[in-house]
Amino acid sequence: MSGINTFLLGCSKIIADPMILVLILLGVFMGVVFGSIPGLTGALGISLILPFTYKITAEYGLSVLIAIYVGSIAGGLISAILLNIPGTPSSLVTCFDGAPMAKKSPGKALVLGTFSSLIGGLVGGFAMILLSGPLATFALQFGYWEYFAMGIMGLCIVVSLVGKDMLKGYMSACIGLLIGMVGTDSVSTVTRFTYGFWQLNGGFSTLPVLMGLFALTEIMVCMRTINQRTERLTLDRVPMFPKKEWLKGTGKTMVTSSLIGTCVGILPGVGQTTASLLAYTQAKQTSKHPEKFGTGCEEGVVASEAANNAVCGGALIPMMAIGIPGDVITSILLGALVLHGLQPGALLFNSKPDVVGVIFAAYIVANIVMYLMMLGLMKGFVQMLRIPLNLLYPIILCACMVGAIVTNNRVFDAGVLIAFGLIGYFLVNNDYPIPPLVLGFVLSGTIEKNFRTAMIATNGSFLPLFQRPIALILLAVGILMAFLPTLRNLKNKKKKASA
Amino acid sequence: MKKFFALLLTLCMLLTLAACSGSNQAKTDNTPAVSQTEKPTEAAATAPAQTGIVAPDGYPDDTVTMIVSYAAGAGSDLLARALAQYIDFGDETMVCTNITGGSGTIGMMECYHADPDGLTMCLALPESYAVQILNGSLQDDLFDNLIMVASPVYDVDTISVRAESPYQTLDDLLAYAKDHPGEVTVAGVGSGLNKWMVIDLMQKTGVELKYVPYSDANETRAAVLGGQADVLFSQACESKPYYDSKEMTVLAVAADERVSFLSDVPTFKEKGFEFVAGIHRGFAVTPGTPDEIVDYLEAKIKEVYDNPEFIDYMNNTLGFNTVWTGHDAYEALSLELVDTFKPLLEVAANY
Repeated sequence: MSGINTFLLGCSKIIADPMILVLILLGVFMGVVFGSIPGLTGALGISLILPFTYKITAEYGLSVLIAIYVGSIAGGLISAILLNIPGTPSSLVTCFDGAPMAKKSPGKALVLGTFSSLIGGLVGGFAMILLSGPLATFALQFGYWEYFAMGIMGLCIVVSLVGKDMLKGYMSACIGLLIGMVGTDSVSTVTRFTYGFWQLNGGFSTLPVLMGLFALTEIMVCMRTINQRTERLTLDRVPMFPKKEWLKGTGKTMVTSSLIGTCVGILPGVGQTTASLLAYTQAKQTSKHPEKFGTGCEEGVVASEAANNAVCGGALIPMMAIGIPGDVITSILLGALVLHGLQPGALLFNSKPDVVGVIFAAYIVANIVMYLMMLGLMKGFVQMLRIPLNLLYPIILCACMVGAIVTNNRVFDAGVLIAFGLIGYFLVNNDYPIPPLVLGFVLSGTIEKNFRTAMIATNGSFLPLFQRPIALILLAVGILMAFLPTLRNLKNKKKKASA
Repeated sequence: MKKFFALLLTLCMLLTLAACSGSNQAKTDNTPAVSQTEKPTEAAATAPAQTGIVAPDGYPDDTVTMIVSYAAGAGSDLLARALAQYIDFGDETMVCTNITGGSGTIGMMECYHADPDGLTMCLALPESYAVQILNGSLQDDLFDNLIMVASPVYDVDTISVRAESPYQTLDDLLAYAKDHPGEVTVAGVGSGLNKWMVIDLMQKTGVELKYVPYSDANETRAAVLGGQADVLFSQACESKPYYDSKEMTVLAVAADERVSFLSDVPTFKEKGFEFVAGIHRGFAVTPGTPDEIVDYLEAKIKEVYDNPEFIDYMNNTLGFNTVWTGHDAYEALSLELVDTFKPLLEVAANY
């Protein structure tokens, strides 16, 4: 049975059983709430709901879990745009342009972000429905060399994130790489940089680090001016559809970012943050006006949100087709499938097309529900800006603490959050950009681990790398990305000289 | 909270008392009046232990926390959650929390440092801890202190290849590996237990394989399915899904006898190799927990183990090979592991 037929079968099941729709509505709502509160993430929401799905049918359980997943990734943009604090780690790239844009027009930023989320989600979803099989096979082509090459490509794009002071940008990236090295080395099982804290044996968890660097730092920076009279953001109307002039010139970014997101999603263990960083830099590098990025540029918001939502659809592909999850949340979903006695993989598509269909349909429906719900509720969310900051910040601080503690159910991570908040504050105060640090932190594990695995498998020889076309292409793209700004500057200089 | 439960308990007892006396009166009133007054104490003693397992005084007086050192949805997590679902603590329940990282040691250490009141348990993988004790990442006296309660699952090791692989039997694979030493790559998780077991396997079969460490089970499976590695070395629960879908061929299982859900897969023993390896997935409690609580927990876990529904779920849904190891055997087995594995330490370091 082809993907479309399965999808239609799922749609008919949802129409026949309105309970599924109700569950999707509830799930999306819960997801948006968890996503929009800094510190609380979709993964947390899903782990909380997972035990309840033991008792209900697989169709119900998976629908509600997928709805939470979709809602949470999209919900992160609300606080990213309105408060410059990412609601989930995956929406931190949305802060770069979303927050400056919101200074001028919060309504525009929110609608544009939500619309890009919808498009990204749908692109990822239809990729899943139409191409599950071939795409999963593509994911299997990725071995250690490919992951290594992708990590290096990711590091190359740091060039466009370093900001004005190149040296400080690169230093920040190096700090990120070092932070990523803390913990037990998976190849030699030696613990590194833990300084006797056994809690660090597993390395730093992503959430407390990123929330400390972004949320805590932002709060501390804002506290300096909290008693000064600042101009309030003017709240404009939030239309249901983005105006045409807002979308002008973002079509290409929308499509490429969605595709980047889908592809990254398919690859196990890469994740939303990397996807949105890649899409954002790609958009910036190929843009006609890269200097506008970071000042509230439409493409910046579009790139980040389209990419991180496309990851969801992408990540479901290998989970369903070969039983290998693409990110944290899909690995929980995989557990939910197994709980109901459903073994993911090629067999599932033939033996239980109805369940697969419901998963497909629930994902697409959840995306549409997410769009309508987010914009419907926007009026309420925008009111958040009316709350005085001296009331709002303590609440957010509490939410971050709770989020940090529950990532691993221990208080140690709250300390990590505070420590990284202080580090972030110090860095920001001294004009070190944070994004390169995040990039380094997120990628260092991937690069190192895959490189060392490759070295073991090939007896220390680099040569097999040259037999891997995908890896070579990725490396070439990375190098191109790294030197593109320099080349462009040279060209501009020549032009100026000749003019 | 405690007051509330005390109230609830007395209420329950009152109700049973009322029911007893009611039925007694309805029948021919043959019970003497004296025994009626004795009823409450009797009811209090027997009510929480209907199955004949006597709970230690006041235990459990709160929710029992089961620390799972692996992510929600992972195989071990599902095992712990299944236990939490089937175990019967009367008014109290068992709740699982996931504390991940450090190859599963971080969650275990949280349990190790908890209050010894039996209210904190953790999922235990003694084989994996033994390796970490030997290479110095866990303290030497871990097994002397940590109380191993019981293990319902002996998750045996398997070796599998993908369905298109040129070697479809153990003999083919070993014959090829013998002629081409170090050429066949084996994917496994980490450089701890699985690597050591592969080394043990190589010593016992006399062939040289190339072990490639990956960071989690998903990566190893992707590597084998995608053809980056030739052989998957994993526990049975990891290879069962692909055995069922026929995407992989399981060549051999490292058990004493065949595993029920992999019935046509030969054991290494059948093929003439003394290779038996796996993980005794079980449960442990904080050092210093009173003996009666440990015995009670063991009995409760045994009760779950004797439930055919649980066994069916373990074998056929999760792919866990159910073998009972009680408290004393589990403790002895864990202590022994360190000595059995010791010779592998040096070999692994030089590998």
